[in-house]
Amino acid sequence: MSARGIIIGGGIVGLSIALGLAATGMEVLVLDGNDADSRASYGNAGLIWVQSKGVDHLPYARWSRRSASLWPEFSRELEDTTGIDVEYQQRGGLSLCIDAAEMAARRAMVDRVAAQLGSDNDVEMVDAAYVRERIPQAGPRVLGASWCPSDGHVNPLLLMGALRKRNAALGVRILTGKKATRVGMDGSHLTVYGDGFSLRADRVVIAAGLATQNLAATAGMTVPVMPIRGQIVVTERLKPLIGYPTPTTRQARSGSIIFGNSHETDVESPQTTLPVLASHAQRAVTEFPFLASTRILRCWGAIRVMPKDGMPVYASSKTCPGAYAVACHSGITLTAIHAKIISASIAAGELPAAVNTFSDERFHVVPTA
Amino acid sequence: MSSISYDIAVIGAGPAGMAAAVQACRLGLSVAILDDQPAAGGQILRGINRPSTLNYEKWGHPLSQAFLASGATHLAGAAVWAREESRLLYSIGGSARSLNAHALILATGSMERPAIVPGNSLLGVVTVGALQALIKGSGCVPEGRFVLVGNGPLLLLCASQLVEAGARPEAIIQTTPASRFLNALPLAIGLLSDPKFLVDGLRLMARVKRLGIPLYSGARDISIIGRDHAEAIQFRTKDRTIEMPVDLVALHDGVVPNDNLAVSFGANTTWNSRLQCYEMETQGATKVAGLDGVWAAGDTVAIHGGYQAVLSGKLAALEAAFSLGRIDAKTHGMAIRPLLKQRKRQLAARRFVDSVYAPTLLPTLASDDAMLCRCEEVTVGTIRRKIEQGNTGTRAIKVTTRCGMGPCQGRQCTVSLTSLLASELPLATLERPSLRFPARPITVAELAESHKGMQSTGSDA
Amino acid sequence: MLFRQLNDKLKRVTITFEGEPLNAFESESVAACLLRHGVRFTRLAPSGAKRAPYCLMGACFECTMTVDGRTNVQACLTLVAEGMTVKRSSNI
Repeated sequence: MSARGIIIGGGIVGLSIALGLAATGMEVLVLDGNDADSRASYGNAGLIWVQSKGVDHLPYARWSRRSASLWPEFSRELEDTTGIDVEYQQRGGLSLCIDAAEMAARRAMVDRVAAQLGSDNDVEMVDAAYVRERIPQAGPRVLGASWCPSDGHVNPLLLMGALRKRNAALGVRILTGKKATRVGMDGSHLTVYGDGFSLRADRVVIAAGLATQNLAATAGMTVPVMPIRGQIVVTERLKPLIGYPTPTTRQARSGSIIFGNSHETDVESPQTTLPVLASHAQRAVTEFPFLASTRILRCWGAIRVMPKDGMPVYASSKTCPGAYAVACHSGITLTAIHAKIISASIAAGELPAAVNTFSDERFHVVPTA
Repeated sequence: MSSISYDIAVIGAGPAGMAAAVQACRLGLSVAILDDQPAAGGQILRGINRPSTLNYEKWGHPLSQAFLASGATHLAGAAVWAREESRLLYSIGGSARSLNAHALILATGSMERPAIVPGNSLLGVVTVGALQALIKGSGCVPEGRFVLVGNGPLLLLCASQLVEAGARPEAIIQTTPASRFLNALPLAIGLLSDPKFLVDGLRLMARVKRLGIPLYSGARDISIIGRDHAEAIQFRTKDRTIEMPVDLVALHDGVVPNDNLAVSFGANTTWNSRLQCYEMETQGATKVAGLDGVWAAGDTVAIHGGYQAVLSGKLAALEAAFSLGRIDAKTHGMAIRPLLKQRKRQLAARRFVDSVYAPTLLPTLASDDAMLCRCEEVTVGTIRRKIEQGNTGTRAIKVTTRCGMGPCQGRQCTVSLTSLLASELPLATLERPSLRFPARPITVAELAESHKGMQSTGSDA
Repeated sequence: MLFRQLNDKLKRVTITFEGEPLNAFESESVAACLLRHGVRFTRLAPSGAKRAPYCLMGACFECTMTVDGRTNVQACLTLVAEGMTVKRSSNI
């Protein structure tokens, strides 16, 4: 009888790990919340973005790039097996600067990245002419950008659909509206407890977004995560005009342009607000003047997950051996490495050495003498 | 952008909106009415002020005269797209405007239920409501071979209006199952409490019979045939299959609340499985639950018809005026009492109609190739496959098919999607996909100028 | 022609559609005018399928066209005016 894995959380992180576990031959069950719950997987920008990751933390910079390098094969396999094209494109990304202050701050960031990565550095500052060569539509106030050839984007909604389909094909059962309340040991058996159920497993991975903190605590893991709201504007479909993604504005394969990059803390509801959206519109028109006369179809807000120090958390439980917790902000960028590396390691009984630095031990309070 | 202030802003200039404006003005309040149509009248009273040789909806004339004389500021062609407390943002001719109002009355009416039949997205297919809009609003009628297909009193009403104007349909193909009349008989007693309703209905049926238009009943398996435009309509009636060559097909399967704007403002709606549509949550007849200073009147709350719309428009204006302290409790009480009584009688009459004319062209009955989301071209079959693949909610379907993400922002598909999910999945979430502003497709420039904004950092992902 | 005007005593105006002049009647909508002149389709769906006005009340967005240089204007909500220019969306 094959080993059983239970994933708590059926978003992109949970489904990527479920996929990887199922591929090792485990019997996998995903306990998912409800369709109407706050789900970061439905509310992100779809960016595969490395240039600004781990600017002062080399392991995170490397971890992100490693995942980005696994994405091409991951996307191909996903398409071959599901028939779903997740609109993956990775041929570089530009982070635009619209005034001198942004240019200076970005230059400083790029210098720090370069210093860390040394000969592996793939991020550079480029001038307005370079930007306009890549994206002729860039406006006159764009002074330059930071450029990284490893950056790209994907359609996160199609990715969700493809992950669900692939998981189903591998025999993974996804149970909706089945919420776990704690993870514990029933004698020597690792067990997931919920309202009216208890399920034994050989491996448990908690990947439940904002709910991860409380669930992980029941298994002795410290995973501090905060809600962070992003608001986004989506336009009508246009012919292809913006060929490279930026963190603020990108054009989807469908032709719609998706813009707005904001991070609001201390909010819990996925509302949209006029001041933020108006700011997005103002910036969008500065970056790409043609957008002034483009029609907006809809705007939405989404609550996403941000670990306390911004970096991913990969925790393994000491009190409940076989239980793990995963939390991150960049679930899209890390999809490939979650499916291909993290899950295989978890199946084998431990987290890879590369993520030791992301363990939850960094949050443990050191007792003072 | 300068902002003008009013006591009450009414959105929609149909019977409910006009009645609300007239009542509010009578009580001495200042009223602005924002109307996305080019002239007052909404749908049922479209063209009421237009020079015309034909006279429809005579009951609407006194109301529209009163509205013209009321002193309300009528902003025609105004598309409201957002609300920020007392400020309403709207767009006229592509330019951004706003106004302030202490109270808001939503009277955005109803729209045709999307009819889900194969061939529904071909050229030469419109709604019966569209034929009404064309005749009443623009004075034009169909030529050539056209048929009216579906279910509801509007079918017969429209047929008689068209014939009076010299345009005769090839046939009226009714999909109302015969058994419904019998089953609904116990509810017919309610009709007696509002005899006008019953008399109108009987008169209509007699008229159509007199005109000798071929009438089919109990039709099912409707299918519109053609490559890029409608060429024939096929249906089963009794035990024969009929295929009729046509140039134009007009569909009708009842109406549903046109409530996108209200939902984007934060109004909550609940799914009514008998009527297969959403209804607005209210406190009492007209106060919108969960929102401050917002009332709603007419079909946008729930489908109760034109006469009810006038009544609830009056009620909403009285409620808002009382809430603003512009009339005292005694005046308020005395005015609403008879209205509430009348409302109760009229609603009792509706139960028979609602039962007989419950929807018939539902997605559950449609073949896979019928189009459910027009904008993004998502068929009923595609959605069925996605449900099978484990996408078990309105949001899950939306994200994996783009259903509801196109220009109409779910107006033409939300009701159908929920209907399909509710039938295929007992435990489906019928949670309505959320709607935020802008409620109309404004330009990026309009959004940019709507607010001074704040520091946007453009920080990284 | 799928539609005709009932009252030909109405004042006439001229609009242009895709550069060609069309006779219009004051107080009719742009959508009605196009339908009277047998204009088959107003826009294309993403797959390229042709679409024409469907609801005629502003709820379906099938009649969106470029009017006097403004994109995405609903022809059913817009009355004709002398000299108005109407085109299909250039994104087609």
